[in-house]
Amino acid sequence: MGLTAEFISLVFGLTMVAWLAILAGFVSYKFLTGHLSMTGLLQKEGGSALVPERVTALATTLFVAGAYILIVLNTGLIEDPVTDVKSMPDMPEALLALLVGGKAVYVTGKISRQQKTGS
Amino acid sequence: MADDPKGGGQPNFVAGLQMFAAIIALLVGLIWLGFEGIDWLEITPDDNAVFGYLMVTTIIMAFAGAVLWKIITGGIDLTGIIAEPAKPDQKVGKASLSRFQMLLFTFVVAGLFLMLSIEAGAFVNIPGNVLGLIGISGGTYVLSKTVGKEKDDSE
Repeated sequence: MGLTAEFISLVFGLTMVAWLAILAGFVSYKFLTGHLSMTGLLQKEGGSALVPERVTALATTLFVAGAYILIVLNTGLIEDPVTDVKSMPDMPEALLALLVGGKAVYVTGKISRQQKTGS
Repeated sequence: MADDPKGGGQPNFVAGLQMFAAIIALLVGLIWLGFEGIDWLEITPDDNAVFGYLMVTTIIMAFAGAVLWKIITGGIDLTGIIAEPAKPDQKVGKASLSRFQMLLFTFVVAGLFLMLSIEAGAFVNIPGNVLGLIGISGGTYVLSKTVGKEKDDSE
């Protein structure tokens, strides 16, 4: 039989990548054309002014995601010479700390604003 | 059984039963062919495995294709994909930063994982820090949701 498990595996993997790419592209297109609402992403509930901690959190998120994509594209697969186990490149501690910092600022700001509004 | 206004409950049940019986008969037939075909048609166990693999991947790809088709044609509504629950006076809720972050990291990590797995020819390991990234994203989402709920309850 000409059909092998390896070939099916390759076709399946490529199909799944295409599926994810089409989905991501479609969602991005919908965001860009305004069909999916991003209203209030950087504002607090009921407000129109930009909230600094939200801007910080969004900026760190985009930076970390972009930096990790670049790391993977530059590094590729990591193979352990001893065990032959292949893995994704690890994320540097600094990037993770940056993300945690951004999130911490966001959550702290959110709680603090909520208490301020509640009091 | 609840009253069916169209009175079609019984035929639907019978049709469902017939469909179930047909699927079971098909599966039994395939299993029988799988075992007997080894002698009759000189099918090797490897061929059987490849056939099963092909069936499973076809079914999963069909599900994935159906979901994608429904999303693109509007059968599955993505309007509130990153929105918080809408207030009674709102059509769509306010966009949530946590949901957006989760969406972004899911696409990034899943896409890179799939690409590297194809390159390696097997599933690759996901390092602890990357799992931490997804965990932080999900954790913040739950935390912000909890904070938001407390706020709603206090109002």
